[in-house]
Amino acid sequence: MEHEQPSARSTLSTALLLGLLGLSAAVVAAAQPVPAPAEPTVERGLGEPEGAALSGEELDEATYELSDRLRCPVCQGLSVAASPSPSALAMREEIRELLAAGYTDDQIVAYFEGAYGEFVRLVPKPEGFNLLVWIVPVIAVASGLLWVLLQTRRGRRSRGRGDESGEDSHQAAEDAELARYREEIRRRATRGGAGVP
Amino acid sequence: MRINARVLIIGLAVVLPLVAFLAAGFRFDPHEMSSPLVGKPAPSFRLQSLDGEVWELEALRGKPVVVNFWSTWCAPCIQEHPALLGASRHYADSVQFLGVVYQDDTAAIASFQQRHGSWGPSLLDPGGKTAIAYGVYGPPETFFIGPDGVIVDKVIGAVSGGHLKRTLDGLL
Amino acid sequence: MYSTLGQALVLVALLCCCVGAPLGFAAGARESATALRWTRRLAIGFGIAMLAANLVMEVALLQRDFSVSYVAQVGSTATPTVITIVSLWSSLEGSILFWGLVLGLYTIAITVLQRRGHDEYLGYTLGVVLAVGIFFSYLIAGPANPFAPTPPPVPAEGPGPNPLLQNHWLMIWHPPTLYLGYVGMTIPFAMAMAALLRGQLGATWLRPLRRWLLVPTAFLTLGLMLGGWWSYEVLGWGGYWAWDPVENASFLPWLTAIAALHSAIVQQRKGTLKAWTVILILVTFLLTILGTFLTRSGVVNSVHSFTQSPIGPLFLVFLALCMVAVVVLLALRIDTLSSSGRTSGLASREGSFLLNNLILVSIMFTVLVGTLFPIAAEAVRGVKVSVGEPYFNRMSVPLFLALLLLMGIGPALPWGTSDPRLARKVLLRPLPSGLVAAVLFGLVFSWQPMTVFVGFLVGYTLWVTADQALRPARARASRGESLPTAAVRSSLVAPQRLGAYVVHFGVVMTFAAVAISSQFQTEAEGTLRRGESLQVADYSLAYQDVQVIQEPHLARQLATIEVRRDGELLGTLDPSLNFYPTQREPLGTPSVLTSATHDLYLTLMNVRQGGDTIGLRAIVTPAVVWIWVGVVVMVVGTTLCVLPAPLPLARRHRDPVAEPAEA
Repeated sequence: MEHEQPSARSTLSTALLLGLLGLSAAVVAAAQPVPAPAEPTVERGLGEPEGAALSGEELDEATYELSDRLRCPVCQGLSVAASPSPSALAMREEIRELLAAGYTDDQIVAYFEGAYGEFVRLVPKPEGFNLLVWIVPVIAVASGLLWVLLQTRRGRRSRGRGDESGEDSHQAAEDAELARYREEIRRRATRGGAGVP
Repeated sequence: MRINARVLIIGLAVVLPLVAFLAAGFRFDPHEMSSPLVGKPAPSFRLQSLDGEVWELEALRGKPVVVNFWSTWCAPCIQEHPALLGASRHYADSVQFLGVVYQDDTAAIASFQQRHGSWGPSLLDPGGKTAIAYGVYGPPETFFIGPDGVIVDKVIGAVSGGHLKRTLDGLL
Repeated sequence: MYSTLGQALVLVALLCCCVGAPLGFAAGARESATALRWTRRLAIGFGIAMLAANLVMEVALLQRDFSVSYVAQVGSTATPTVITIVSLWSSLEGSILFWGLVLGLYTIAITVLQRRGHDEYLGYTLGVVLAVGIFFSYLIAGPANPFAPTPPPVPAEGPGPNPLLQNHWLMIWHPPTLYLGYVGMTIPFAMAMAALLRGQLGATWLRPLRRWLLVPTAFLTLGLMLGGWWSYEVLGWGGYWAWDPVENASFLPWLTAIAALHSAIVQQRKGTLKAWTVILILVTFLLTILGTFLTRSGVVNSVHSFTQSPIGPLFLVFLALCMVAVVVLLALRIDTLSSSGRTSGLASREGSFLLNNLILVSIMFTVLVGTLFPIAAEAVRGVKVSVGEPYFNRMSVPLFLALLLLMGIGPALPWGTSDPRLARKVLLRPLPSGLVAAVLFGLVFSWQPMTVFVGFLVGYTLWVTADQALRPARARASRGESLPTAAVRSSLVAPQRLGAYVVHFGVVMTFAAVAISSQFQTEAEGTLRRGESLQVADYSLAYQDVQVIQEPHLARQLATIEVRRDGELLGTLDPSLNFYPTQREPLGTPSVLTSATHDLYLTLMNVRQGGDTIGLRAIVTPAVVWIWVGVVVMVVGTTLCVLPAPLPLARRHRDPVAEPAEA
């Protein structure tokens, strides 16, 4: 079997295979290996395909679309479609195989979810408590907008009434401070501008 | 000095729950992934080992099985190796230990086992399909399967000798 | 020896803070010149002690003195000098020490630069800065002490810094830039707290406050860009922003800082939004601490997270103290900051500023909710969930579009009035430019409604931005100067005004580049034997060979790919796959061919049978380079805003508050 080969590993180890055969046979002696059928298989517990088998460009697109909704388990925050990691590659190939066999998106997502948990969905399943992650920001934005509208309304009304008292207190507060700065600047100006940054 | 009660109440109503919420975050280890497979029947597989034997999980019913996903390039796998080696000797007659190779090549596995010894057959997993069926996040991960074929426990990262002993004694 | 010296210096820094902070508050409360003088000295002392402590650590790192625990943790005799220097911030303890350095430098900067005037605010300001300094000095002195002596036996060799951090030159610039932004938010925070403590925020204090907010915001902008660029050049997935929790954590304070910069303009012009500006600045700082807590505590799962550490809870305690202090102070003093001016209708300049703030805060809130939601889901449902890119894109893209639209509308509207007829007039003028750009986008890229709409927004906003930027020049020109002279003179007189529109220009550029690059990627993936080619767009990529390179801390598989475009040989690219012993998975380093119109991005996914076949992924992305260029333009614009205006003295005399920069 030929997965990504960490480079540093030398080829001399093929020679070691023979020696290893004896070793592992000794450890395993107690168990009962089954006589050899051809293909390695894994039971996925998926049942029968419920959709149409895909192929060609349609398969490519469906694979991309579905793998973009699943989270690559080893990388952080990347989808299976985006990640270049070997694990994500294996998952993409698995998705492609299942789509080609006619499994539906829902079946495939359910399969991955059954193995990895809800975490494998890149976005939470939109139901129950999870809905809050969408609703809370929307409510916040809406109430913010409402508040801004009310503020500007009120602003216009108060101007209509000619309410200037706020303006005055603002002025009073600033005036004292400004006066000091005017004084400071005048002093520096009379010194010929020295010290003005 | 007058205090604006409204600002105080609203402010604290935002701040205190937020702090409590963040403190609650400490209870969870983000790297600790509980597997939905625990308590469910282990996905059965039929895989070929490095030395050409074929192993079928179904055929091992009746005794506990330890399935460990590992590779030679992962540091914790090397770290947990002695514990697995010890346990595989201790439970040689009663428990079946199976290693599933995760994204690694045969030559590397063979040379590793030559140097460090082997605690069980190394099953090859073409295309990583078994790892996907078991929801493996990354090596090493260890699954404890009861005699009835149900997964009773899963460990992410290096498994300790103590954990192996506790879990396996519980199963026997 | 370095161990003792370093610890002593950190204790000096802690002492300066512990004495200086209460002294600063006293200087503020009693308006005592003597107390202020001593607070200043202690602030300088804190900065120098932090600087010295960091120098000691650098010397220890360079001399590979493994008796210092941090050096034993990240040092190695095999590490090159440059990497050794930057390994100061490659691990938790060092990064906190580096935080201390940046805080120290900012403290020195504000103490020295704000020498004249504002004494009444400065005592409180330095008090708050040094109070923050107490926390960080304490962390460095105790819980995250990088200078602790290594328990014997002292090793002769160390493991070297995190390998992920040493494989690209961008990693040298990204963290310090981000820190200069992050830590720098302490200064505007302290200045805003000073305004609250005094119960007064006048225009004279707002001006330096805005400037001290601009500086860290510029660094944060640059830091975010460098982070995205690093992610693009190193992580190998062909993107630059993954909405990773840590990316989000640095994005949150950026959003509120931008909001505060805009609301401060309204306050300068109209006297409104005073309390709001202060709140935004306070929240910006709190978000930097929250972000640091999220990254350092290991509460969220992220590439950037340091492993779970004991300082997580301490950060939470600090965050809680800061938040409570802010709330109590706001409750006590907010009434003294009540807005004095009036708000006009929405169809005025200040109305658009209000909407701008609403949108920025909405984006911040949405990103915050998405980032924290996994914790909530686990607390309530006991299930781990992911909130990834599709959520953030779906939620924030409409808000970003609205923001861009507003950037076109806002600056065109007049201050103070919301006269619908006038508004209609100024808003119709940029329409032709928008339509032309929409058609251009349609012709060049695609006629999808979204693309055409983005094109329209870009054209419209560019017109308004250029129009506003040139307005003073045109006014001068109408008085008889030639237009180039007028342009130069007007930008010399009010560089802030020009700077603000340069920033807007950069934003439009980045926005357009992000929109285009994310919508029009072409991708191909395949398994190749030697000599076989993969086709993507007009490119033909032929696999030549794989080399194996063994480096001290990693094994690298380097593939050589011959690149042809329409048959013409362009050269070779060499994507690689790196095996770090500490990583769970091998990491690919992409190889990128950049041009003005698009990037060709190659990632090596696997090498099988000793290089007989490789898995190669090729992505062609248009316009990526303009994202980085746009951000650089933003930073240049911000620099113009920060520059002191060389106003003629007479004018200064007449109007000491001077012209506010209109962003």
